[in-house]
Amino acid sequence: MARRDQWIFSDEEVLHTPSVAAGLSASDELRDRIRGVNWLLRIGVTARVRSDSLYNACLYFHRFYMRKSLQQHDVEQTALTCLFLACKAQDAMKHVTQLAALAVFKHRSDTAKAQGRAMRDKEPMHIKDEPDVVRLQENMLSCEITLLRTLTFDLAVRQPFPLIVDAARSLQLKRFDVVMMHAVLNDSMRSNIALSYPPLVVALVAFTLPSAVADEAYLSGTYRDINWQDQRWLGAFGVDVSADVSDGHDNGDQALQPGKRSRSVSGDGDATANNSKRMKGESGSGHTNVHSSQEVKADYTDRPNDANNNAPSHTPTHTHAHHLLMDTRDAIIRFAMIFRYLDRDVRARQQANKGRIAALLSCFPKRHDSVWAEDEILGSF
Amino acid sequence: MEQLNTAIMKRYSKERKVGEGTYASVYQGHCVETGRMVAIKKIKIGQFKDGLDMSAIREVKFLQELKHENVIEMLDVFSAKQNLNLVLEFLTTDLELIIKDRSLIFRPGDIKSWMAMTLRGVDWCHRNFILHRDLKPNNLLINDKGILKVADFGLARDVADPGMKMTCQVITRWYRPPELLFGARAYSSAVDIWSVGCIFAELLLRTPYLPGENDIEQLNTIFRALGTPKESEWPGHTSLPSYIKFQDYPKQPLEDLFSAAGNDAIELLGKCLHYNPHERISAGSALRLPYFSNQPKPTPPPLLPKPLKELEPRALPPDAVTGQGNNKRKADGEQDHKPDLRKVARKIDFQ
Repeated sequence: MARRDQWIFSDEEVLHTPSVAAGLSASDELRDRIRGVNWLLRIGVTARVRSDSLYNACLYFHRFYMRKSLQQHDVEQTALTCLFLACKAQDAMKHVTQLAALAVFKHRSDTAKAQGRAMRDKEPMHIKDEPDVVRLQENMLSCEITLLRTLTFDLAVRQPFPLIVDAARSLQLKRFDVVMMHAVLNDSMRSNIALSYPPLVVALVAFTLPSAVADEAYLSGTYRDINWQDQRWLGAFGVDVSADVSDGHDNGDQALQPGKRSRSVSGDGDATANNSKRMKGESGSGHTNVHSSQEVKADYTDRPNDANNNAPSHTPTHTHAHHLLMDTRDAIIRFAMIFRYLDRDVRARQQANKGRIAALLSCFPKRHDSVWAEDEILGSF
Repeated sequence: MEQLNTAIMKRYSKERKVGEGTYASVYQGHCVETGRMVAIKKIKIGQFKDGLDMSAIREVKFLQELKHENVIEMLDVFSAKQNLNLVLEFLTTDLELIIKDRSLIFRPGDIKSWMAMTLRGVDWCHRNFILHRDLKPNNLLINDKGILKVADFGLARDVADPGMKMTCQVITRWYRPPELLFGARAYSSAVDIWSVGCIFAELLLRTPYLPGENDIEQLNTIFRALGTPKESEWPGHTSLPSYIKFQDYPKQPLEDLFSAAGNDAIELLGKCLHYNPHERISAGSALRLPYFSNQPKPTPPPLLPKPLKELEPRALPPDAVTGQGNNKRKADGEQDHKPDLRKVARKIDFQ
């Protein structure tokens, strides 16, 4: 049976993937992964796939290539199959024909555009019986089994987005702040940070980064006023920031409050509140936190290169919050690694934000033995 | 990964077939190493246009997550050729067979014990934000030590975001709550609790409590038994998508039909079969009701009545080809292996 933490990889593992072992350079691998995720998102968004399924699909994709090489498994086909499987696992099935037809259609329209001619076909579903589509469809179905096997049939994913929504609500942030965070989260799918950090850290990246990359005009005053240096904002994520110092064995026991917002369905009051909301069909930004903070805590402690293993022995007095922020800093850096593969105008925008990103990073403690060369990465885009 | 998969596959032997459905066959087998008896559910793939059946995906996904004494345990998963195999713990009987076995006599403590185990299993699912959506005696399996386990997660799903639409065609009709029958597309763990209430009533009566012949008749059956709900009792139900007005049946005290049950049992039953889903009790709170702490104590599982005859090959519910709305057939499938009901079930009702 699959272990819970089999999907959190150490820095070492992330740097030595099967593709790298088979001779691909790390930067080529990153480029290919980004290409795959871009393709997945492009087809997914056109097919109106829900964002939770998109997130899971991207994660399946990144996990798959921790065990298989890019050289042996076609990126686009794998991306498409991840999308197909994620929709199915989230109870929001998209038919294989629809996705395959859409993919072939997009390819043809790209080619047509490149050659400056008009598309012959008007609708993706008009070409569904053509050999190209049928072949892709068959390939996707056989890839589905390989994918499932590689993922050891472990399909449940803990999502960071509900954590963000809860935190934003408790800090009374505005809707647009959350939209910006969601946008950062979407972009983060191109990076592989979710392979290294639990959902909480991914959520922290998405929560903090808008302050450095979003147009200030879009952000609420409440959000802009958050002092990132003062760890108190972490309280919104259920992290206990009252204790300044804990003992060296940072097992997270006292560091995370057992979910102040964890919505146990078993609790009468909670269930009632949730029910009444659902029954009235109230929508809006209300999201049910799929997993309680207790689990987040457990998950976090499971991280292989957690404080216990990596922290230098002469600094035994860091709090859990401190470690979280060190990870967040590393994760932001790794997120920034994807910038130089983005389109030129996006890259130019991020270039302009370099100073703000550096300023945000300086608010967070730095891991001494971080393998991610901050200055080099920030300088590269 | 391939080696791992092969290693897992070699760990089990497949022996006789014990069940067959459109989407899976179930075999009895052994773990070669330990000799432990297992059930191997072989999912047929390549038959469906859309690859692996959605029920199989749901089952794998949720059983990977759920580990609890009162939830069926998935020991392993492997794929062989183009088949997916779930290795499940082998369970000898189910609650439906026990209820139907007229030679068995239920003591109050026995019923309490089954109810407590059911609610613990359901509570665990709900705590993990999973709705079962097909609770019925036939899906409550029981092992040789008398331990009851919630099984068949082919219709389960995550508790959705509020306002997200889900299909209302879930849960076998007799155990389906009124909000689903009225077409509610947003619902909660309360749907499972209604089913638990129906199961409780069935344990007390030894016959299905609310056997409606079709969806309309189901509502009629419910209202005849429990009274037609008033707006005050269940606010908002008249605006549900498929709401229709029913005859005004008076409320009958549950004590009248369940005359042998104590007040504490009636309390539990009433709270599970509460019309307003927002106020229906949760599994966790139900377990804290006096019924479970009062005398008589729940019977220890090994001492519970069990049927003398072996578990018969169990007809699996046939499965739909597509994921959407595939649940109606589940209720229909129910009739397929209850041939005595088929005739009445096909009768068209002009309510």
